[in-house]
Amino acid sequence: MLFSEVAKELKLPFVGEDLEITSMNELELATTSQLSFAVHKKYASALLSSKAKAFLIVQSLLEYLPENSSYIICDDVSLMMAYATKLFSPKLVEQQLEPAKIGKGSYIDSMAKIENGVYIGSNVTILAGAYIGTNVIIKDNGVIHPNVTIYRDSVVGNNCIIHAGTVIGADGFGFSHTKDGKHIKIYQNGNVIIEDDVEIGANCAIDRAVFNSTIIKKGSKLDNFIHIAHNCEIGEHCIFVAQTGVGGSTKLGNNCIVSGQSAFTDHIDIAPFSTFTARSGVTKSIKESGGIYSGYPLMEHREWRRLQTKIAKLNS
Amino acid sequence: MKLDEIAKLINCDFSGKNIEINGINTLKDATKNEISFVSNSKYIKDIQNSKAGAILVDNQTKEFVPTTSIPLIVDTPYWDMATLSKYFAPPIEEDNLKSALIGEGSVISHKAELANGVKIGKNCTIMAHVYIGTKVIIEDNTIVYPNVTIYRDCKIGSDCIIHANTTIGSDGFGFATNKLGEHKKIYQNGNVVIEDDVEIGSSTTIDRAVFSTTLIKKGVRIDNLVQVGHNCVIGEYCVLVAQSGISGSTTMGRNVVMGGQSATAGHLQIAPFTTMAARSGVTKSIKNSGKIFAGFPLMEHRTWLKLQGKIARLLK
Repeated sequence: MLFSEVAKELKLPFVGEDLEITSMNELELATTSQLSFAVHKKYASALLSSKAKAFLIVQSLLEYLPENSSYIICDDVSLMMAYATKLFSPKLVEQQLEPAKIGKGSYIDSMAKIENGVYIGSNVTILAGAYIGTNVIIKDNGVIHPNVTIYRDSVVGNNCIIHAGTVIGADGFGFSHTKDGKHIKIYQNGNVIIEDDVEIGANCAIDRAVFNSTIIKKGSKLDNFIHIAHNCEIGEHCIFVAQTGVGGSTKLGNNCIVSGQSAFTDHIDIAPFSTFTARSGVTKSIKESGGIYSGYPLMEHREWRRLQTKIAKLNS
Repeated sequence: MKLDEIAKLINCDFSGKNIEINGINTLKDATKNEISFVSNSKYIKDIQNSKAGAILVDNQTKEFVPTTSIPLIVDTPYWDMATLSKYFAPPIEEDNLKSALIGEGSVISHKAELANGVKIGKNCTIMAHVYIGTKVIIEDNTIVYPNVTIYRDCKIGSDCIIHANTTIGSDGFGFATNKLGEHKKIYQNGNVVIEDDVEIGSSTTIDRAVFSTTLIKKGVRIDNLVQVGHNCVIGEYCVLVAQSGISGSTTMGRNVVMGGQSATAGHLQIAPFTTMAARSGVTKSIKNSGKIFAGFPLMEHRTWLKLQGKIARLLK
């Protein structure tokens, strides 16, 4: 889509060269053919070094714009960004693509639905009621249990087991807000990548990234009812016990253990080999690896035990 | 499988008869044609009384193996048990079985899938996109709403109602972990048994047992989004309110009430007629019946109310 067409859809004038835009991305990761956006002063340095050539931008950030950029000045960049994501969202189904390629020894139940453009490796089992969306890749030896839904463009590695009712690649929870309190959808045009040897329990939800990918690295094991939000990165060999949730863009290092009903806020980084006991509520990044944590607000497990003893004494 | 084949799979020697082994089981439940394992020195008592045909032990525990069992001495019994569990896992579906038997008056949606070997009783309703796995038995008058998945070998009693998108019999969350932090799947070769007159809400998950059975007894009421771990026993007429979670091998007496978002740790015994208020976190067994509890850490509800009063006053 031409940048001029984007401007026309947003009903705003554009400045600079009219470029062909393939998709959107955040400032740091955008390539020369992607449209990016600068919402706030805190992104000034990211804006300066961005490789993008086209931007949605607030007036006050114009001075940080890289040279020779094309841009649209917006009063409310995040709202315009939301409207623009719709322009780049792919179709749910693409019938003109080639029928699915299915490797040797794979069994696809007749009541599973495989869209066009899908690649399925060898010895994969896909059971009844599963839905495999456009362009999904499932590598070798996996099992997709009944009624699993895998949205378009997701990638599932070798030897993965995905249990019934799980949804991979549903839209991340992202909205921009109008001044009168309405919520405008930010179309989630990224995907989910699940690496090798991952097992995902029943009725889990792994949301697709807004741009780029939500990643579950190799060897991680998820129990039932695990919610992984958009753009998360879960390290290798992590363990998630049931009913745990991870907020958007949060990154966990390798071998973290997260016990039941725990939760992480968004945009934090967790060091490898961290352990969280049941019901931990994690609101800040953890820099040192190997710690054991509990409670909400989160504290070291030993501290939490001391605190609980003190609280119990309040009654005596 | 012969014992010498098993020994070869895990690289160990044994002396004794080359017996036929047809399954893995716990020290307590294993029979003479099953192999068992010692994962932890706290099970030493159970070794001596085990009727298992063969037992995986390490050097420290080998001396406790009774003369009726053949010891297989390895460095990592739990890891090797996980390796073996794969060889005793039944296939996901079995083509050679007879097609499903359906009782008089039952209505099965043509969009539901019934695997071979299934038996459905009289006057059942099975709605669209339901998956009923190999050898599942559903007795009379039971209603299964759309998109429910029931894995192989599970049994559902009569007069049950299972709401949409619930998963019954998915794999319990069990892995052996090596020194590198990698997790190996322990294949969950047990099943789920749901007795008569049980109602289960939507998007709930009940995991299959690793060996033997996860049991939901008659008259139980389970709300939406509830997690029941592998090998749990939920007593008659228990009530599990939305988003509660019961960890593996916990046993409840009759008429236990678990409030919303409450949870238990694994391997606990909960006395009959216990009530847990919303968000209770149960980490120890409850021996006396008829009490009401709240909070995390758990305390009697009355104490919890007093404590909340004191905490509220801390700010004054």
